[in-house]
Amino acid sequence: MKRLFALLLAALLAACTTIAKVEGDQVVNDKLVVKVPAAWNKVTDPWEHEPYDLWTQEGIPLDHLRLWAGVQSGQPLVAKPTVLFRAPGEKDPRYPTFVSGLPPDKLVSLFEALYANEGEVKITRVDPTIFAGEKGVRFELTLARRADDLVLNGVGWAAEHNHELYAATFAAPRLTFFSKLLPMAEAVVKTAHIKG
Amino acid sequence: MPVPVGEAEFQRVIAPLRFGWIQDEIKRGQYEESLVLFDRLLARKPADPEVLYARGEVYRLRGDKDDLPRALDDLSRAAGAQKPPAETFRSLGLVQRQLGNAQAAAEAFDRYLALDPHAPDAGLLRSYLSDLKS
Repeated sequence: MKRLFALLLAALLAACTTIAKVEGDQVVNDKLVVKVPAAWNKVTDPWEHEPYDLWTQEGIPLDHLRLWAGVQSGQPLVAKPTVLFRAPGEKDPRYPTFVSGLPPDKLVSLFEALYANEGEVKITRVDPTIFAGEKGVRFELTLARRADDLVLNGVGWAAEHNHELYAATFAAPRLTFFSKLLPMAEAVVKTAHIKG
Repeated sequence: MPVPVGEAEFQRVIAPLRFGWIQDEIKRGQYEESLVLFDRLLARKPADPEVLYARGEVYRLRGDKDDLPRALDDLSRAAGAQKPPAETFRSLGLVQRQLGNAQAAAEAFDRYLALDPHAPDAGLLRSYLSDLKS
């Protein structure tokens, strides 16, 4: 019985989150190419098919670099959770959803709503930029995370190409980690270009 | 409608925090729920500039059919009230820009940046202004 339990546990763990080292040339969703000068850790959860790549240096509770590539109009920026039970008359919540043709200010609002789900978010800077070779927007934010009362700083880049969204966000604790890791995130983001 | 005992004192105490709470409500992105809340608040105080701004901003962000004229109406009323939030003029400018009213959009952005020259999105709005005035 113990052996069976151990086997089941091993099988379960094997099916859980995996972490793989990424460096060199990487392609996100077969559409966005980035060069990774210093290795990152790519986190994959087989149970959740998020529409972005999730990378980290120190572990997801601390820092994350998310990369979206080729999000189509009408698609949300996050995977909608499976709802097993719904009360009568209850509707699904809204999820931040990309729509082709959104102006830069509304792109920022999408990511603001995305992070607002985690805690109190405040956009602290918004500027026009070039991201992945396209005219886009760069924004900075602070997030007071509800789960652990940790204050994070964040930065994001977003642009539209051929009616699809390309974006990246990086966030890490304001103390120590953000300033230490931001150059590594920027080193990746500045190499981003759309494939083809 | 009779004024509940203690309401004035309650409003005085929460006044420094209230607009932040309203902004947090907008940021949730649950537009239909927010509209119910703001409709209720406006039913009690129809000319409240903070809530008029908030409802107009939710309409602007949702952007469904007929939302832009609703946003323009609420934001114009908020802008005409006493002491509207500076963000009213930002949102008003964005609506006017979306409607193709370049001069009205530029005026609203100018007003916003005059009220809050160091606004977080000043860089983006100055680029919009540059396009509108060119």
